[in-house]
Amino acid sequence: MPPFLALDALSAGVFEFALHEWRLTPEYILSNWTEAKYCMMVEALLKRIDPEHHR
Amino acid sequence: MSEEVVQEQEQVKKPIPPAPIPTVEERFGRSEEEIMTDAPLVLRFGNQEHHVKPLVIQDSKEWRKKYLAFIRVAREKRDPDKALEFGGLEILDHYVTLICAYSKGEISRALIESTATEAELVQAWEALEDFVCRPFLRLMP
Repeated sequence: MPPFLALDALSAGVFEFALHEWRLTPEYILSNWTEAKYCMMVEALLKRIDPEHHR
Repeated sequence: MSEEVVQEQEQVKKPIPPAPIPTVEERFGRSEEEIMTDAPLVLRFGNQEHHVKPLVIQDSKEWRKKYLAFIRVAREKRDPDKALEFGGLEILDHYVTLICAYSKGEISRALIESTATEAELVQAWEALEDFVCRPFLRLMP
């Protein structure tokens, strides 16, 4: 997922789900993670919960 | 039925293989390790290396707005008369502004203007633009 698509993920509810999984606040992520790191973390999360569709 | 027609029909029946999944390096221009450790971008001015930390999401968004404003100005100056002045003079000033903004003041305008050659400035700009914009520019038509 390229960085600008991370914004799509925010609106699609993935962000809320990821926050719940990671137990982090949005403020923490927005002010501590780069876009690339956020994308990698989301991809890793999606791979873990649905490995068939996110290889 | 000729051989060519049979071959064409067979080709039509064959399912199109899925596009290969691009690697992390291909997508981001950096390795997974570099991304996860926030490895800095190295820019060289006056033969000295300067390490620039990648911006976090909220700061990157602000920087992108400045970058898009620059792209808009560059597009407006495509007229041949304006393009010469813009490409030969103003564009370097924009590069300096955007590099300083990305470094959040770690690299100053004075430092660049007093130490860097134009070739170094252009190289640094290309490296920064690739570093920040590669993932979304590769998707643009």
